[in-house]
Formats: sequence, structure tokens, C-alpha cells
Amino acid sequence: MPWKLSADKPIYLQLMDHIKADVVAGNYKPGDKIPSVRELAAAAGVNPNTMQKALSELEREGLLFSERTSGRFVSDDPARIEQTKVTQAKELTHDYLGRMKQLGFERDAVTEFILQNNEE
Amino acid sequence: MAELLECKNLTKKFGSKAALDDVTLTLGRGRIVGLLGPNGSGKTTLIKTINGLLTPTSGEVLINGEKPGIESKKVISYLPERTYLNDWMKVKDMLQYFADFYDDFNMNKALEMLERLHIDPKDRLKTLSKGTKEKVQLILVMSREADLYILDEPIGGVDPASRDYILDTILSNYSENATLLISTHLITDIEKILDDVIFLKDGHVVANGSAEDIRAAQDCSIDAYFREVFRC
Amino acid sequence: MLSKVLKYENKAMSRIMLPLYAALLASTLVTGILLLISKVRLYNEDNFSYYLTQPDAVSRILEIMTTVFMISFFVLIAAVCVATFIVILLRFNKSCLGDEGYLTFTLPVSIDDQLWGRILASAIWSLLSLIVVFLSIILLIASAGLLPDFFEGFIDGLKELFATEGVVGFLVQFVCSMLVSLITAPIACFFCLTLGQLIMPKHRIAGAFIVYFGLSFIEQILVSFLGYFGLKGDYLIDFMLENDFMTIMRGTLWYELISLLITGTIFYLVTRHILKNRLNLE
Repeated sequence: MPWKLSADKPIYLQLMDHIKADVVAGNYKPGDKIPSVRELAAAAGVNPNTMQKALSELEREGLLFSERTSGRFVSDDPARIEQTKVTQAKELTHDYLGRMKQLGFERDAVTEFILQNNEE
Repeated sequence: MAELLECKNLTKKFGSKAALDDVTLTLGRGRIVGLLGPNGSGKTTLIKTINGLLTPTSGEVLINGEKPGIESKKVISYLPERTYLNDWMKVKDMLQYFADFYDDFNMNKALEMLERLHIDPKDRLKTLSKGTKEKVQLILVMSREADLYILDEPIGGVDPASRDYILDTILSNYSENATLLISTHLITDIEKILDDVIFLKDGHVVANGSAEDIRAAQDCSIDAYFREVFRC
Repeated sequence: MLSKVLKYENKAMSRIMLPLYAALLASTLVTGILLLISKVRLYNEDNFSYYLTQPDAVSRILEIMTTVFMISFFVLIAAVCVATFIVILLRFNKSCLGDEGYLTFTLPVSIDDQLWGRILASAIWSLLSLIVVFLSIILLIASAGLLPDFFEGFIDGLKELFATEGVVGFLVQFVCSMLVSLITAPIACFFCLTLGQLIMPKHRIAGAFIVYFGLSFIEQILVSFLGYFGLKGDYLIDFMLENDFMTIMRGTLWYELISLLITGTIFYLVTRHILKNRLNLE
């Protein structure tokens, strides 16, 4: 099944988010080798060039690194991964807060609301 | 090395009507390019001209630096909108036909794809349904190791499940240095795999660039951008 | 590449022609045997006529069957001739001017090879049909047991023929003309079809007929044109008065051969140009 991707935003950004989520969730452990560009592209249902761009960007950000002949690997620096996790969480929170504000919830009201509804 | 495809001020007139008007564009290698436009925009005319089925009224089209001819036909694999298979041959005869005329035809690949689709090579083409014939045509075209694949409405008349299969086939048979030129008006299904897009309107190129750049600049999907550009 | 085009054209034609040939041969044998039996049972040596010496049921049936098969034999001969012509036209129409054209003209094969492959295939099968028909007739005569008589008459005729002067040259010319027309006839057909497609894309067959009649019309005009200016007229009459039959015949053949070569070349070049530069497949 191809990854859930929207056509409204640049795809490579969404691919990056998807891979980051995988890393943070532990689907890829630090130091793990990730599949080849073609394999990932086929799994995601996208053009290999787009996947390549996403992976290059992730390399630039330091989450991935590549060894010329052996392929691409997840960074084995736990701090890096933690940083990614935090950045993703920040983005999610920012999104959430923005939308709650649209519903009329100010900051403190949001915190209260979460505590009240945190049953699951 | 010469560009894979170059159109320089390409114009094609039918009578007084210009189906292609001063079209200039370049296609690099290893890209998946969408040729998008409404019916009558000149997509098919452009494709026929690249294939040597039409001669330009003025301007030129060059493939690997040469005019369309035997050499360009060797490196272009073309899937037209219509079924161009003859009726009387069997599927395996058709495969042999392609193998005879095209040096870059990969017989094993074709047989493999047929098997995956449960198409019996011993069947007569005449007995196949329209959808199956189209799949056979796609298999024949993608089994060639060409420099440029030109697909005219590959998912046009096909059900959604088959569409996925076709897009899968296209993506998995895409060799790094080959370029795919896909002409379609079903943009939503296809835009996620496109590197570049070319918008054609009334024979003119009205947009030409990377799909991701357009998404970022326009803050919407290619499909949405298309609707805006071609609003009636 | 030419050989490959030829291979597939032959394949396509043989699918239709070979069964027809088989049917004709079968018909020949059956009809021949029936004739033989008829000759034995029904032929009256005294007055050289077929008549019912024994007007019983079997003879009646035999007579009817023989007639039916004779008719079907001639029908099949006609069918082979007509089919050859039609198949040549249909093959070209379908593979070059229809949807199949998308495949034909994107193959890495030159237009010349595409044309010559089809011309040669047409020539080969026309010749084959001729031979098969000829053999069938001979076979029929043979199985009816009439071969010795026929042969005798044939040899006599040949002896007389070769006694005449200039006959050998005439025959050589005749065979040459025939071989040339085997090539130029398909070219003319393809020309009509191709030009017809150009002027009437939606009704290709009608277009081809229009071109054909147009050509005949132009030919008539040209001939009378030449005649009017007395160019051909006077010369022709002098020629006919001064020479014997054989020379006249040979002269006519020369004229025909040259006009075939000229028109053939023109038709080929025009067809080639249209296919290369002005073809617009729907």
C-alpha cells in the first residue's frame, strides 16, 4: 500500500516526515540500514527522484548518513534522534494549539481540556 | 551528450489551425514528466511529431540531437492511446514480433509481467477484452529498454485497481537513465510520481517546471493548479 | 529489416490464402474423380456425348454431383483470384492506414523497407495463386483422364507456335512484362489506397476508388490527347501497315512495359512521400 501522501504539499517534505516518524517510533533503530531509494520509492508509490531528494535532505539534516558502497543508515547518535523527536512533537503541538485556538480554546483552557479528556 | 528531447519553435498546422504553436522545450534524462492539458491542447500532436508520425510545419524536434527517423525510433518506446495490435496474432507472436524488430526488447521481462497478470501467451489477441489488450500493450512497451518512454493516456479507460497496477509497473520498470513522458488528463492519480510537468494549452506551453516547485510556489496540488490555469 | 517485414506479411497472407489453396486442391481432386467416374459410366463413345446409358438413380445422382462440383470448382478458382487481390488491399489498408499504422510506422524500419516488404509479399502470393490455379486446372484435366488428349493438342499447338518467327522474343518479353506487372500492380493499388486516405480520411475505401477512377480518366485523356496531335496516330498506322503481326505485338508490349515502369516509379515515389510526410493517422 502506498504511503498516505497529499498532493497539496511538496511530496518530498511529506516523505521526510514519514521517515522521521518511522525513526522516532523505533521502526528504524539507530545505526540501522534503511532500504534503497528504489525500494522505498516503490513502497511509497512515488518517483525515485522525489524519494532521493527526501533522503538527501534527511542526510543534510543529519538524521541519515550514507556510506558510499554500503547504503544509507540511520544516525547512531541518540541525541540527533531525540532532537528529531522533539522537533516533530513541537510541530504537532504548534499545529494542535493553532487549531484549538480556532475552536476558541486559549492556552490554559487547552491544558485543562487535555487533563479532563485523557482517559484512553 | 545531446539532450534527450529538444523542441525548438515547433509548429504544426492543419490547414490554418495551429495544433502546436512555437513550442520550445527540453527533456532531460531520468525524469518522469507529465504532459498535461485539456483535449485539443496539442498533446497528441506533439507526441506524434516526436514519434515521426507527423512532420513539423516549421521549427524542429530533435531526439538525441537527431530528427525523428530510424535511430530515434530505436530508442523511443511508444504507447499510443489506441490499440495498435493486430487481431490475428497470439500474445506470444506479438512478443516475438517486438523481439524481432527491437533489439532492446526484454522477452523474459515481458513473459514475467504476463504471468503476474494471468494472461496466457497462447491466447489470441482477438479473444482478449479491451482492458487486457491495453495491459498487453503496456507490457510490450515497458519491456523495452528504451531511452524515452512515451505513454499517451496509459490509465485513461482503466478501472482504479488496474490504474494502481499500471502506475506500479511504470515505476518499477523505470531505469535510471530513461525518461518517461506521460500524457494524461487524470492528474490526481498520477501527479505523485511526476518529477516535472508541462502544461499545454491551445498548442502553447503555459507552464514547464518541477512538480514540487509548483506545489511549493502555488501551495496546492498540481491538479488544483491545473484547474486554475485551465478554468473554462 | 526488409526480410522481417516480408516474414510477417507472408505470415498474414498465408493465413487466408493457404486454406483457400487447400480448398481448391481438395475441390480439384473430388471434381476430377467425379469426372473420371462420369466418363467411365456415362460417356458414350459412339457419339462422343455424355448421356444416360443407364438412367438409374445412381447415374442421376452422379450427374448432379459432378455438375455441382464442377461449378464449385470454378467458383473456387474465381475465389482464389479475387481473394488474392482483396487480401493484398486489405493488408495494406489495415497495417498502414488504420490503427495498426501506429505500430507499423514507429518501428525502426525505413518507409522503403515497409513498402517493398508489402510489394514483394503481394507479388509472391499473386504468383503463387496463379501457379495454384494453373496446376488445379491441369490436375482436373489429368484426373478426368483427359490429359493425354490435352497434352497432345498442347504439344501440337506449341510446335506451330515456335515455327512462327519472333515468337521466342515475344514470349520472353511477355514474361518480363508479367513479372514487372507483378511488382507494379501492388504499387498502383497502394498508391490508390494511400492517396485515397489523404483526400478522404474518413472514408478510405471510397477515396481509393475515386483515385482509381480518376487515374483511368486521366489515362483516357492522355491517350486521346496523343492521338489528337497525330503523334501516336500517324506513327501507329504506319507502324501497323509496315510490320507483321508479331512485330506489332512486340511493339505493343514494349509500350506497355515502359509505361508500367514509368507509372510504377511515379506511384512508388508519391506513395512513399505521402506515407513519410503527410500521413495523419486518426
